[in-house]
Amino acid sequence: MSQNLKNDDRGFFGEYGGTYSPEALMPILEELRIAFRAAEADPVFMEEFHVILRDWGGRPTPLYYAGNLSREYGAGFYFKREDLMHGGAHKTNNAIGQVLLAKRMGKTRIIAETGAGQHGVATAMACAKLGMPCVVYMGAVDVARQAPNVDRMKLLGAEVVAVQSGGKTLKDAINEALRDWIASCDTTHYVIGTAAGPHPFPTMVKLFQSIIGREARAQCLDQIGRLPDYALACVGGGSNAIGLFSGFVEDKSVHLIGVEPGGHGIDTDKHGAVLCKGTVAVLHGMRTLGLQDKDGQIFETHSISAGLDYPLIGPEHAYLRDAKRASYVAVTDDEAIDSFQIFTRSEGIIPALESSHAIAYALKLAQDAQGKTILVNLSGRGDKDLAHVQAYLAEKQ
Amino acid sequence: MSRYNFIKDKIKNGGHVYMPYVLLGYPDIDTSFSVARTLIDNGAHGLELGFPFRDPVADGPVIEKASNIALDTGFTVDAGFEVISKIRSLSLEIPLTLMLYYNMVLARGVNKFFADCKSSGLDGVLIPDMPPERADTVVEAAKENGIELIFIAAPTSTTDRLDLIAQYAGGFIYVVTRMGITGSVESYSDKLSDLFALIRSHIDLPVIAGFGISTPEQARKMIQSGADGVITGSKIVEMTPQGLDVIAHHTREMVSI
Repeated sequence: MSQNLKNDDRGFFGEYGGTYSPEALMPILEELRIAFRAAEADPVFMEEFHVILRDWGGRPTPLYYAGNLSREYGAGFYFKREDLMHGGAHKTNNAIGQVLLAKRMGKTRIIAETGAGQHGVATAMACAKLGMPCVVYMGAVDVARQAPNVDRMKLLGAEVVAVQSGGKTLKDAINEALRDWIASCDTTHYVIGTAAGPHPFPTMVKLFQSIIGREARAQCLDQIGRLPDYALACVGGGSNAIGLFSGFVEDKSVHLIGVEPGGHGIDTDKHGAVLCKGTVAVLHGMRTLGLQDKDGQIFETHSISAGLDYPLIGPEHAYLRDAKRASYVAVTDDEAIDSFQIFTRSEGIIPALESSHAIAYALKLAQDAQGKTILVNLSGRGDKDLAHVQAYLAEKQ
Repeated sequence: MSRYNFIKDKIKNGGHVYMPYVLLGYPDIDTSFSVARTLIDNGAHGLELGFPFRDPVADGPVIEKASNIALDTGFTVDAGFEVISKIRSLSLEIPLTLMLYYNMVLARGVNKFFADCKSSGLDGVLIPDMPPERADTVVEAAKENGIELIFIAAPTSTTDRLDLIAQYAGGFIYVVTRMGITGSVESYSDKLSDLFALIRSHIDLPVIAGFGISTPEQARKMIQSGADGVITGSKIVEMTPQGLDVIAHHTREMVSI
């Protein structure tokens, strides 16, 4: 056996992670693993990545003290403003990193999946900038509920494929993208949008998103003079959360809390709270937690937020949960919508529905955390959600 | 005595083997049983029996759609093992290989799953999303129950990987003859003969070609290039709505190539 098969870079986080993929993909994943490790160790590559994030992406993003909310709720709320990043969400960090890596590997075509459309937009932007053709797979239900992002992707030159199989959401888009990749992997790189999938994706996406946590930690020390008591992020697949958490995971005094989509309530069958309710599963190339029946059929999940609508979870979150380094909670659709409105009126910032889940839990947490400092990753802006929120509120009345 | 010797003997005597894939539970359990019986009655040398899965990422749209129909009709793993027992009673000599995704093995529990394989009369299991790197998680339970692990080799598999596969592979080696997923119509890899020869030099098992094969002409091309036999993946699923006579005719054509 070669060194590469022998070495220990297998991508496990405790019992989770690893590589569970069809044989046709295994050599390509190995090629990607080697290329990723070389790129991460190459100062020239990382410098190019950071310069693009700065000059094109608008980093560093600010840390914002939410004075109005803090006075009202009696805790110190700080928000990491990923909504101000180019493209309107943290997804740009990962997309530009992976497309740069694909170019370095000599790939000539990019594919991606998208749920809410933010990762699709980020990948389409990165491909436009770096001159790569781009195909984005998106569930037909999501195409309908996220129309503005579909228009943006097309304007940026990407081809958007509406996936008609299964529940026609994120899980089905990933299945279809994987199929494309199995057939095209010699020329094509698949930019997975979250910290999930076979090794090296969870580790690679974390590296590109870890800039969130690194900046936030330095900004806390600079602006507050100390670390926060809590660091919160919403969790769908888990990329913005792992990006934030990575900056604080060694700081044992900082409570890390991931907030999952509770949908209609986690005791109903309409939610996506994988870390609260899931069991061990293998799908999409990884061993992780998933929502499934007794035969191992993966459920369709529900969330008001398309970006959190995923029945699996990035494997490192499953590990952090078991290791009790992070805790995971869920908030319902209604709670997320309430917080969306409260935050918008209180701070003059429209948050993404995904991020509104983290805000909702932060507001709840403040009752028991009076005077504490609560850092929340504001992972994206909410303009994309306006039509959806208005329809939801109209239906409620 | 492994039933895979049935196909090995046939190949040793200069013959070729045809092992079609049947999706159990499609469109319902009884029909899939009748399809399996038709294949056996018309001379299939072995069967690949599939359990439907909602997310069959290594299969194409034909099998995905049919899988959803089977599951909506009420397929369960318990019913799947029951029908395998019935299929086994139709023939005591041909090898039966179960194809299913790793998560279904995990959900049943590895030990119980392989015990069920044994008691239902299966000979081997092919888990398309379990690479040889992860085979250590099931190899003991498989051995204990006398179940062979069947592996896939692809045109992209390196010689290192073929050697790794050889450590765990039993029964036969399922060769993906082009990149892609079952059921597509793209052209086959140009260097089929080289591919089969390379695999043969690393893995001492019958070389069975699959993925994208549906006609006797395509099957003949595989045999001429050095394969010992063929598997048709989505073909039988596609023909199922047309009735058993169509399947019977196709099977006779395929076994006589």
